[in-house]
Amino acid sequence: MSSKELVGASTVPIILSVLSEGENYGYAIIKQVAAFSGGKLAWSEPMLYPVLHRLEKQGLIKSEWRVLENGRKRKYYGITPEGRAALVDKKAEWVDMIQVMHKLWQFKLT
Amino acid sequence: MAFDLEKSLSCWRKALRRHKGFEEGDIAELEDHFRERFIDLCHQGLSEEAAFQQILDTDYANLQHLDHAYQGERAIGHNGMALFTNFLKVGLRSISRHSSYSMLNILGLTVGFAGVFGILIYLQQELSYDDFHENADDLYRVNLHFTRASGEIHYPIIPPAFGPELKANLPYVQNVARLRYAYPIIMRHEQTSFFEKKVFFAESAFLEMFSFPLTMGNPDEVLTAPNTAVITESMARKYFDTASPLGKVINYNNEIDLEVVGVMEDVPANSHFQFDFLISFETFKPGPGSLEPLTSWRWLGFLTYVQLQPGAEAEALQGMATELFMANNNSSNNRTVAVEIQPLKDIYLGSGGISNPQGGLFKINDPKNLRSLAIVAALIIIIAFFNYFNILAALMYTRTKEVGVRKILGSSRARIIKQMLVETCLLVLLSGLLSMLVIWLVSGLGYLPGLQPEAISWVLMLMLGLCASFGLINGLYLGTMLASQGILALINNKLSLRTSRFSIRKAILLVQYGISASLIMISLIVVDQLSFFTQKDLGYEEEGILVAGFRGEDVLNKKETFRNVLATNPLVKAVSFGPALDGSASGSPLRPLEWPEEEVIQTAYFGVDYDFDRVIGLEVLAGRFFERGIAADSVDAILINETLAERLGFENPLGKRVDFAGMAEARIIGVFKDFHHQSMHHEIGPMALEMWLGPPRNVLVKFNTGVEAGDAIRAVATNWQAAFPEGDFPFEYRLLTDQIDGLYNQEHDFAFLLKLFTAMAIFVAVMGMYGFSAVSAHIKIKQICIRRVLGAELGQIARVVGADFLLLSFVASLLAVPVVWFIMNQWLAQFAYRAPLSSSYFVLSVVIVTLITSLTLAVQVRRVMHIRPARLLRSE
Repeated sequence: MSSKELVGASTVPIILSVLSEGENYGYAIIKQVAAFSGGKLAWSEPMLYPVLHRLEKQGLIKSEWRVLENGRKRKYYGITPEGRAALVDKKAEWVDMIQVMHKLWQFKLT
Repeated sequence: MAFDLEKSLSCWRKALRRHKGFEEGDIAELEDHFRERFIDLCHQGLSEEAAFQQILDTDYANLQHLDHAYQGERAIGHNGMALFTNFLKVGLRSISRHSSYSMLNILGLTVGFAGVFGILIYLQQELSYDDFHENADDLYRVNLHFTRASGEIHYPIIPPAFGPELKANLPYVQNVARLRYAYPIIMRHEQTSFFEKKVFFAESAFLEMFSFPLTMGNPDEVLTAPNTAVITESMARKYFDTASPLGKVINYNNEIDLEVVGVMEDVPANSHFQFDFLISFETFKPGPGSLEPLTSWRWLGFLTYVQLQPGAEAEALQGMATELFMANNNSSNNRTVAVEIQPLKDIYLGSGGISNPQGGLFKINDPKNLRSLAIVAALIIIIAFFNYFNILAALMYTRTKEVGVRKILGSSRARIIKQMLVETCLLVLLSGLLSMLVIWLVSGLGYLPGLQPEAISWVLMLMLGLCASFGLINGLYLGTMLASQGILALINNKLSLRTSRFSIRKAILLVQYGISASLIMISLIVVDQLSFFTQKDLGYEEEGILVAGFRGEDVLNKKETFRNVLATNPLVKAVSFGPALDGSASGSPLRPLEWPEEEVIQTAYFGVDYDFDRVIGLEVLAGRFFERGIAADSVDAILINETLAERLGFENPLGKRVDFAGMAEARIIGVFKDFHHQSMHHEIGPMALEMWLGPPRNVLVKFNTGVEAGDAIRAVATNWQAAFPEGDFPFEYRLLTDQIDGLYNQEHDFAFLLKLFTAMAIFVAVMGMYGFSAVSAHIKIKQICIRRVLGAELGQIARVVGADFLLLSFVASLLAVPVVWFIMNQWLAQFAYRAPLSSSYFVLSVVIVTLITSLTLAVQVRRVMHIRPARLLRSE
């Protein structure tokens, strides 16, 4: 299980990445992430929503209530152009970070 | 019992709704999530009940935490606007809930700010003198400083030949303008005539150098031709009403017809140099009786301004100018001369030691006054700040529960601080706006100068800065203080900082009481010194004397006519023609014949007429006054004052011969008692009286004792009309007592401002004392009620309410005594004659402060004694 700080730092890029694949709703996002991480990345589930709300207020994602066939309502989130731009930045940051780690540990191992 | 999902979810929703962080949309979203998860768990084989319980255990174990997260996101959202509105709402609510304290706070702050802003506006006016000239930085006045054995004299007036030579011989001098003041004279247009005092002859360069814009006439041409004049707009209205003044003729002193060739805007109030008429310099002709021509190097009588090239160093030119003067002025060498080239902007506040001819040719002020006011402003700020802080801090004790609840609900530290900031800033801003309203009203009534347009921005910035710092510092401190407390401490009203903060507050109160006491002492001393001025014996009888200007054509004949008519007036005791006693006097060196050439005593002198001694009640100590029967008196006789007699050192000065004022062998025929002809700032110097039978400038009429001034003035006016029926000789009079008051105008203005602002400071301080004791009583109200139930006496209650304040105020005012003693000794040192620094002021101030404190305490005690303990304690 990942440390709290790392989970916190990665939440936003992960959400943006998932949403960049298409609109989705909270529970499905969590399930996707869990599937990708093989269960290693465990979010305290309802805590996802305040983050989604914040991203929406920042204009990175947008939301819409939709009525399901069974009459229940569900809130869908989708990425905005600003969100895509932010994702590109985030990606670059993480790639840099991973490269640093990679180099560091590669040299140390040899 | 079967598990009912909907029922369980309904309970869960209710639980969520109890938290502030969740809105209906959030709950709906969470419910959707819940249901999905529930279905998944059931699919994994869990029973419905177990699945529900698992979700609760994993996701909602820490509901508080989730609520906090939602609140946190909401706080960021909507650009913080919603939160701000909430703060504003709470802030306004708290202001209105504690309306009486808020009123106290707003009132205190408003008066405090108004005082500070008023002083700021006054100071900016005083500091802006002569700034409005485009060339202000390159303009200078040429002054002459003489150092003689008898002392130093500084003249702002120089000989007429000096100005043009400065331009011809000195580098960097671009332009020179000479001005000659006219004595107060009569100006007449057809049947309208007025006595005018602000009249100058000016060279045409004057309007090129200075920015006094013309509204009519060509600035390049006016002041060039002889017998032409430029007048101000208000003079144009006075003489010509709405008719165009251009081309009209105004008669100067029954001598010269002046054509009006230009009209200029009225001289701004912040010009050191005030005038109504500018007559072309070519018009000025030294009269037939004049001693010197315009080529003179000895005649000190011309204001001279120079314009230097931008960036030129005036100080470097002073030496050259001095050499130039010495090379041309070869009079006796018993003095050293220095020419000063004084920057225009320094004149108003930097001319303290420079003589101001004609009883005030130009406006000056003492920078000490400005400093005093600035200090009062600083004191007002300190008092207002401490007040505000004290009342607010005390009020916070009534708000601990609210903050505690906020913290339980998940308010972050930052939010509590922000909330306090919004509240304090709200109050300060409200007071700031109110104080500007007050200032606007006050300046509308004419008690304050208007703001110079260019100063509006910085005064506003200062005001806003002041308001902001008040709000920020208080808000930050209180917010941090409250936010750092534990929730339990807040809820149970057990602030851990209570004891230590109380001592800080006591220290603040000590300072506050000390400042209030000092201000009371200072204002008592200042007011007393100023009234001492007006009450001190001047050395002559100034009561019941009327002084009228007596100038114009043929005054010698008129003088006798008027004297004869007045002789028939039963209300008049004596009449004489002589000095206006307005602070101006002629001066000349005086040297006994047996003294060496270079040893002289600079002596002020007046030309007087017979009966001058009877008019002003002059006491002749030795010898006699001028007498009608003795013809020689008008030739070579003089009287000297005690001071001069002492300086001369003769055993018997009577009959001694002196070289004085153009008389080679003046004879001393009497010694008179010292009297003040100048303001009390000046020590009585050597003085002499000579007989003057030439054209007089003023007539002095002394009424019989017991005669009403109004009756006497009416009678003299009738005499005047009888003597001069043509009506071309206006009766312009003033009472000597009024005129003497005029010598202290600057003091009176300053005293008025000081009293006003000190009163404001004291008011703010009293507000603070009252407010603080009120809040303290409020905090201790339960304790007091319990004590009363247990049978406490009035005295015990008073002790609880705050007898320690009384002690504090007493100690503070005692501590203020030596400080004020020291400061006021310095202040009084500037006066030649001063009221003794009596201990009664200090005692009185201590009593006043203690009394005010006791009164505020008494009000509080009375208030808490009227509360029915049962009603208050019932709620516990």
